[in-house]
Amino acid sequence: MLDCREVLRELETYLDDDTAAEVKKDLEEHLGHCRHCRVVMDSTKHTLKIIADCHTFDLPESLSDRIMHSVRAAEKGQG
Amino acid sequence: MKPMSSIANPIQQDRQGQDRDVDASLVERVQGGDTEAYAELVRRHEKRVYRTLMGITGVREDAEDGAHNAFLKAYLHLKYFQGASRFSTWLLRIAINEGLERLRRRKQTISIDEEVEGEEESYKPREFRDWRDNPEQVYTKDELRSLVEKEVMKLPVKYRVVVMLRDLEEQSTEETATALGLEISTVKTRLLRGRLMLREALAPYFLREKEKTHA
Repeated sequence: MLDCREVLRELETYLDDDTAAEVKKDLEEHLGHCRHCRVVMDSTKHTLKIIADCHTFDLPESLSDRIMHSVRAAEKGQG
Repeated sequence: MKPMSSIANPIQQDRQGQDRDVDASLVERVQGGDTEAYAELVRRHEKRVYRTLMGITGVREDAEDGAHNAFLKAYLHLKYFQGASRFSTWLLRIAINEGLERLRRRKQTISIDEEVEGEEESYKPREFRDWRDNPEQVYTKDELRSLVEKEVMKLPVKYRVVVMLRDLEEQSTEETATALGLEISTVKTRLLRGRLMLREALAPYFLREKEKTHA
């Protein structure tokens, strides 16, 4: 049987669906009776869904133009 | 929810293989003198480079200037690029060095390479109140984006950059480790801690109504 600290250590692989079958079984058994670990697991899942879905840190519009302007200028300078 | 497995599935592997082929062919064209093919490489990779630099520097102006410089440096050194690694990995490494240099100039001596003993052991979740069933439906998309950006930026840089590469850019654990020059085990540890810190920071915004009164 896993304790809370071990469950926390396995959380990352569990969230990535990368946990070995026997560990997964122990982990889910623990989650079935430990409310704290269940809250941490569920809310971390929600956290990942939120950050994956909300398209943060939009690119500045002019970035690629600025890069290519400098690239062309460097090319002219070299040539 | 998008797949987040650190092991690429066959569809992901196929997509990664195709991406690599497209990049290799564009690199070859640029090396052959077709400067305009570089515009396509910029288009394909600017978002990842910019976000990585946001992760490292935490400042939009630095991320923008850093991305500009990284792409320019990559272009000027492309003649020496022989394809031993993927173009995307090579470019990301240039961008990371650019970001670290900017931190150094700001006299911030934080290193993402730094190993800290007991990193994993020292972090314990403190927030155990229930979240709403559909927390993402509480706010508009703009409100959510601004909330997440604000809280991601508060993470210490070594956790922030790992979270951004893995969870925002959906790089595999292996790709993240290679790009940052870290051991896979270190990436896993920092990813876990970064995710938990972010969860803790976002919790107050997403609690069930009845839980809010039990602060």
